[in-house]
Amino acid sequence: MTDYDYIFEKPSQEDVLKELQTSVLFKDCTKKELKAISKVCTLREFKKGQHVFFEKDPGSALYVIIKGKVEIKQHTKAKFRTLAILGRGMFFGEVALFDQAPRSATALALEDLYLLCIFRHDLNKLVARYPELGNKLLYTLACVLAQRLRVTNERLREISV
Amino acid sequence: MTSFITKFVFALILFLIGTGLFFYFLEISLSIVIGFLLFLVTDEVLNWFERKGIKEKHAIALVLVLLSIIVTAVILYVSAPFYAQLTSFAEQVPKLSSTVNQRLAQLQESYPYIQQGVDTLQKRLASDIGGAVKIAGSVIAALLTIPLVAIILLASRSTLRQTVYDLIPNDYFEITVTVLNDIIEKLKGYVVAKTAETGVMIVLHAIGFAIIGLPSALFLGILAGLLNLIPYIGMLVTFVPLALVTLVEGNGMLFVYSLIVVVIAQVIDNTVLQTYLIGKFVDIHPLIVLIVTLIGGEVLGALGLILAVPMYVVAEIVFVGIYQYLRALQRREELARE
Repeated sequence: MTDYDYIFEKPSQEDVLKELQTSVLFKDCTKKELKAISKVCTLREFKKGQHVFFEKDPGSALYVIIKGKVEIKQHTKAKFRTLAILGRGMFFGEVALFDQAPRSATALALEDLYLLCIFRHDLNKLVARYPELGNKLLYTLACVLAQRLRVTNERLREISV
Repeated sequence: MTSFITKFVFALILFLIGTGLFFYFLEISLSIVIGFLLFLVTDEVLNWFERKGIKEKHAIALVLVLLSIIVTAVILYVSAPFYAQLTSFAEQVPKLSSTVNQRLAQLQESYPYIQQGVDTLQKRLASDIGGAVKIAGSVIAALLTIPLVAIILLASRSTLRQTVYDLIPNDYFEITVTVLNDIIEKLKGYVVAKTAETGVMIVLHAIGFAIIGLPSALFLGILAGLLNLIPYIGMLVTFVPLALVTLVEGNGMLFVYSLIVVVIAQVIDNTVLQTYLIGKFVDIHPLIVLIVTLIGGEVLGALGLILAVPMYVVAEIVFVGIYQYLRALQRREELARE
């Protein structure tokens, strides 16, 4: 399936499985585990310019990008500051899976988007049902969070110097 | 801020209209709501099985088998003795009535104004019995509707979520699902906990009454367990059938023992069940519980006494959800303005 097939039809369960495999988050998962994940995933289509979520919204979902690009931006001193631009296979909104705090940034569709979203309460059920899968997912998420924290620290150091 | 207040008032009006419609079509609304709650409880049981590694199809089959076993067991081991105890209780009514009349006559001799109270009570009872016959018809209709609603929801269990999600526009998708999930999870928790609490209370009372040798122990146990659904007042009402039964037996000590059973069950309920089961999901001030129960009783009668607190809990959860939702929309507007 090419990127542009999505324009004409909604991805099937099989397409979703293939896309899940390409994501960093699910790279270590078996086929059976991916199938279980795909059952709790919801596919959403966003048009260019639409917001996925806003800063300070109550949030509880993680998004995996299937197609398109997303801008993650933060509102500071009456201005929007771009934090990152994410593309296919990448994911965002993962912090909402761990705490009940409001969203720390806004996510905007830079292109027409297809996203797979997993809600906290569905992930918790999945982790309870497949503890091994839960371990893998949480470990990968922890690694990504650690990596992002390191990048943030680097930036802070650059700013303070 | 004005915009927020307008939206909040609008949501409040919608909520009140919804509540009004709920009460206007009370029988249908209650059947649908109870059917939905039954679906939530069954869904939680299915989830539990699935967590144990059982596939969905097998879990559904298991739940059906379990339900069949429970229904059969209830018919064989509970309904038959329950019916026998109910019949024996009914047979005792004439004897009970004459005993009560005798005692009342004695009392009247000493306190003549008591007759006025007895007359009012008799009129009230007569009207209540008329109402009860009317209710019986509605109960039969509800008994057919409730499982139907639950079965329809269970049949679409796997697609239900996606169907609901597809209805939500992108701009409000995550925020709506987050608040909705929060409402449903809290509701599910409360309903499951309340069901478990009632079950435990029925067992505790029935065992206690059987141990002290109270006649119709099972019937009275079930009655006491169900009456416990009415906060504070339910426990006091339990004393009435206990007093009547022990009065017929002419055994004053039996009444004292049965009171001890009720008190022990209440202590267990308040210290263990309320703290570890119900308290995890709701934390309402006892005064509010009492006021809400009294208002429920005044508006909806006996049914209101039972449903007042659960309805208050649902309203509170939904209300907080709506508030959260509107606050988030308000923040979005503020961000857009800046």
